[in-house]
Amino acid sequence: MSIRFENVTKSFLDRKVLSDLSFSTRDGEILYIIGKSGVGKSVTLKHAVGLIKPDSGRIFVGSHEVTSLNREELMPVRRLCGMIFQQTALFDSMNIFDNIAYGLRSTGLDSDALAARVSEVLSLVQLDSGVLDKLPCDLSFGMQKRVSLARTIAPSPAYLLFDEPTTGLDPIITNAIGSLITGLSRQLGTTSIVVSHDMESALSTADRIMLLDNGGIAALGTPGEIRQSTNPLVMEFLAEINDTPEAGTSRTPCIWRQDEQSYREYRRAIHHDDPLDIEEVDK
Amino acid sequence: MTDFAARALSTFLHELGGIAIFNIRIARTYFGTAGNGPEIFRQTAIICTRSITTVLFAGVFVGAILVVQFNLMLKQYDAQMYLGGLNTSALVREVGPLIISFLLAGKIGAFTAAELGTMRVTDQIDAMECLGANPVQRIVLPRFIAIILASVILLGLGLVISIAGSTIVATVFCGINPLRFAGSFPRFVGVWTVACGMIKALVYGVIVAGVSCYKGYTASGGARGVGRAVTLAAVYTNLYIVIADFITSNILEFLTEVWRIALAGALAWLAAHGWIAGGGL
Ligand SMILES: Nc1ncnc2c1ncn2[C@@H]1O[C@H](COP(=O)(O)OP(=O)(O)OP(=O)(O)O)[C@@H](O)[C@H]1O
Ligand SMILES: [Mg+2]
Repeated sequence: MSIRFENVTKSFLDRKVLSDLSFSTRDGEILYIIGKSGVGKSVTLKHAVGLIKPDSGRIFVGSHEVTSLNREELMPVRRLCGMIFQQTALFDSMNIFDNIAYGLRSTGLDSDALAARVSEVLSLVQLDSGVLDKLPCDLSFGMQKRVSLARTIAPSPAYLLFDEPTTGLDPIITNAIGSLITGLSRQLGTTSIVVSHDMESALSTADRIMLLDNGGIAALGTPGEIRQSTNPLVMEFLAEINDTPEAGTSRTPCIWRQDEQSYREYRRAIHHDDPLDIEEVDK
Repeated sequence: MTDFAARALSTFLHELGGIAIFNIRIARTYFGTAGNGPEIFRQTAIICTRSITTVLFAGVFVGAILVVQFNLMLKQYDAQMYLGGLNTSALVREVGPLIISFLLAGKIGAFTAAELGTMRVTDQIDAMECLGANPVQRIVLPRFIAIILASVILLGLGLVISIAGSTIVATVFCGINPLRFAGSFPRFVGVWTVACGMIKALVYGVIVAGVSCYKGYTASGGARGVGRAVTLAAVYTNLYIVIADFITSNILEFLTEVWRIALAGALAWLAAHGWIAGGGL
């Protein structure tokens, strides 16, 4: 039961977004897709649920070949997948309860079970039941994001596709969502693909991390392997974590120190400075 | 110049084709899925309550304008006794359906295109599909049917109020006895005339619904895209309505003729065979 891309190519007008992309998730794993803005992370996710058709190549969700299905045949496959959209995509004419219950209505739950499930997922995303009768526009962006998370996990899909689930959230909620993703995958065996720019949470949450660049895979490996990578783009992302002022003082141990040699080379090549200076600052 | 014309024609046909395909999809969804009755009812009620004031105001004034104009002309020929019938016939056959559909296009068509367009560009429609629902069935179909129903209902209400308004204006401003005014209705307006008006309202309702749902549903490119969808929906709807008016008027004229001939033929046949007393025609 995995999501598999085979030689997927996609262009918009004359801009090639994905070129010959192939990868596959493992059962129950959390795969992070990291990449710069505009490389096609969201486009990749939308391919998996058939919202975008590739120009060529095939995509499988479990045993279903998404690329060969028509709109009606796609519906049961989509129920297997939960997708969390980058811009929340809450139904703005419905209140929060109806939003979260939307995917549950077709499952034939009676109204008590439905309400119970709604409040259960609501507490998973750390919202209180006071929001249930509000409209999405009455909530802050971070709350809307959590509601959209709740709406997606409510029907317990077998695959979860997150498009930047923690962008715009405070660090405490970010951590909570990270452990929610881990929990779903460990307890229910949900396979998750998480799109993010946040290398730090990727390193702490992911089973594997995939870096997209130029429509293809720049690096793919476990967090340990990614930390060791000498790929310039990977190092750029790793450096971003450590360049932030609070890095090294409060957060996880400085990652570049574990890979000091290659990081030094990288700093010399790109920034023409000596990483030792920075080490001084950190102390 | 020819290049421009070719491009304009190609855009026109492209849009028309897109609208046709989308409407076929709506129809297939309609016949392929369980009805969404409560939602259709809700949407119809929303549209009617939203537009009723505009329709009633417009109805009264359009009726008034027509009465004043017809009166000016008929007075010259000393034919004021036909004023009521002529005015009502024009309202029922032509002006009523046209005005109502223009109002609906501006108000409900634009609103629908904007609403669906916003849902599209904010990924709400995609999200609905991902939750295993068919957005055409859940959100497009109820609006589509509601617009058609509302245009017929509003036409009925609009006509009643505008005929009443015309009668008052004729009495107060043109000095015509209201009973005389109403007395000339049957000569010009029959069941078939009203049916023609309703058929037109139905056709224009389909146009308003089809174009605005299509433009909204296929919007792309953020707020600007929604703006473009709304503008184009209004432009195309009005364009298609005047074209459709010309075509339906001619078809209905033809059908009226066919109906008359068929009726006369049938009566003659019955009379010839002694079923009814002949010579009455
Ligand atoms: N529907 C579309 N039509 C045309 N171009 C598109 C469409 N969707 C995406 N693109 C283009 O594809 C590229 C990748 O877009 P995508 O949204 O996947 O980026 P992303 O990696 O998710 O970026 P971000 O991190 O900013 O969300 C962009 O250049 C975008 O302009
Ligand atoms: Mg994106």
